[in-house]
Amino acid sequence: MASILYIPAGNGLEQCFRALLQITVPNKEFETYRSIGELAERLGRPPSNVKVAVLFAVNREEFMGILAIGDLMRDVKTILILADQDKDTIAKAHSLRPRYMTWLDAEFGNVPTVLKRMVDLYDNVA
Amino acid sequence: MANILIIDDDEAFCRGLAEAMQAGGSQATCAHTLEAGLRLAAAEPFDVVFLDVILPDGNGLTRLSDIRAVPSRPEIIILTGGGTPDGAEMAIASGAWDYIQKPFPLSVIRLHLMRALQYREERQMRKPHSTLKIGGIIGRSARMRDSYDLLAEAAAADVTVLITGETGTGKELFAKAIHDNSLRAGESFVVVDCAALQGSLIESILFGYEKGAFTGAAQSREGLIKQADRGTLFLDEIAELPLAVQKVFLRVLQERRFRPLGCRGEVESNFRLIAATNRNLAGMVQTGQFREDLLYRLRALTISLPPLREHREDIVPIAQYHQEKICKRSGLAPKVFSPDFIEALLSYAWPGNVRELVNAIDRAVAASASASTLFSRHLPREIRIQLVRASTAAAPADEAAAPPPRTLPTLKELRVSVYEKAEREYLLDLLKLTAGSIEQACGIADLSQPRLYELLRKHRLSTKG
Repeated sequence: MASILYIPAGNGLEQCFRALLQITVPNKEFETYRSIGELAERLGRPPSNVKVAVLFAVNREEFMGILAIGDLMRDVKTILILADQDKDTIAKAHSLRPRYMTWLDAEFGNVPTVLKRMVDLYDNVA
Repeated sequence: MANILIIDDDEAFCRGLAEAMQAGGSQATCAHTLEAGLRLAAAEPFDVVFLDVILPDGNGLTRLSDIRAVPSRPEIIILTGGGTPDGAEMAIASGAWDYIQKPFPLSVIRLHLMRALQYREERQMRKPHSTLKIGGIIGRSARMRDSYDLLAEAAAADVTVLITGETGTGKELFAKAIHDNSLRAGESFVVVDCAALQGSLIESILFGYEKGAFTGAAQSREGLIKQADRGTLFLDEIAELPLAVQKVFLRVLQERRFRPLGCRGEVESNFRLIAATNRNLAGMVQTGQFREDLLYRLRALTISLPPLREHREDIVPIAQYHQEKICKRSGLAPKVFSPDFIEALLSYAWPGNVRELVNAIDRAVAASASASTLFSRHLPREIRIQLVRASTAAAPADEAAAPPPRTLPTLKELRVSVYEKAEREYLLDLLKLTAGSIEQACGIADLSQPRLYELLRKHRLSTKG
């Protein structure tokens, strides 16, 4: 089964996050996508086989892009990392039914721990 | 006036019960075999069916779902002279209204009938299934329709709901459908994954916290309970909630107020709770792993979703729906299911339930590439291996080598076994005559495809000879 990392190009988050992944889930390969178009193409192609996804919504535009392809992620357990705590953003984020939601200013907080647990729980399920 | 069908091979008993029902103002019809009863149930709208268990042409319990599936969806009351706890459990799990042991006084049967009719009247007044928003939930079997009844009831009442069922039965989809059909539909549906969020993390995420409440709390955060204000809070895998958090959450559930970590004042949240689990919470209460008081609170309304093996008639429609959806999403033309593909789908046990079926269809569509027909060879390898192993293990033993019985069966049991043998021989001849063509076989036997596949599975026969 596949796990996905969506992290837009052109920011310094990826290197830092990958270092954390290397510590918490060292043997897990993550397919990485850097544009909504690429991500949508991957999720729409059978077999999707995607169980877990970490989605970085680094700004409003990226967040709206992720929302737009929400239907393709109905069966994917997601961790959503948001840029702001606006009530409107949070309410819209819940329409994606994330399993864990946090914010960029939390410096990834508990994401690696939760991700490891989710990979253990969901990634090997038929 | 209630319309009642009595399916029992004891003609005197049937006549007596029918007369008693008619004296009470109901209309009653009798059938003395399962097939005759099924034909009548399909042809006329009955409110209640009294069903015997051991009938000359089979066991009533095995056809209970078929009777429930007829258009009038009658309530079924099992009447049996040889009741067993397992039989009673099977009957109730299959959707029977009640299970009554013969002999019984007429006053008892009248009371059960009255309650069943009252329940039926209330059920018919509820929102019809066709108006429910149940996107992505597929199935028209009696078991699924029972679940839709409860979904409609849960949506109409603002009560706490507990959804139980094996992994992959669609608990989250049902929870979302309850929310979407409720008065809270315009507000947030907030998911809490109690299995993924462990230790103190779940507490801080549920209740929220003030800046500086603990090491690492650099900013104040609103908790998920507050985010679900005016909406629905969905606690998935609630059995994994730590006992300490269960205690705090119970108070939240009673008062709809709580104190975020590090906060002096309390916060209110008007949320509706839906919880789900694949574990036996009552058993966990016995072993001290789950709070009894919380379980009582959760069980205001319980929906037990059936495993796929208990509503097999939905397998092909579910597969068809998802095949079309996957093809559309990928820009492919819809594919056709070959008879061997359908047979494989119906023969496999689907321990991972609907989720496993959908994944298998996804992989089959990918494996078939541009081919317009799906064959069983397109299914995932592990499923095909399981099917081959099962068919090898199920090869019939040499019947002549079987030891003679030590005791004689009852006459009813003998009738059932003779009927089963004759049915098997008929099916073997049918398959020979039609060279395994399901369409021809259905035409000759006057059976629907799902029914024929069900019979083939029952007798462990294959169209491949």
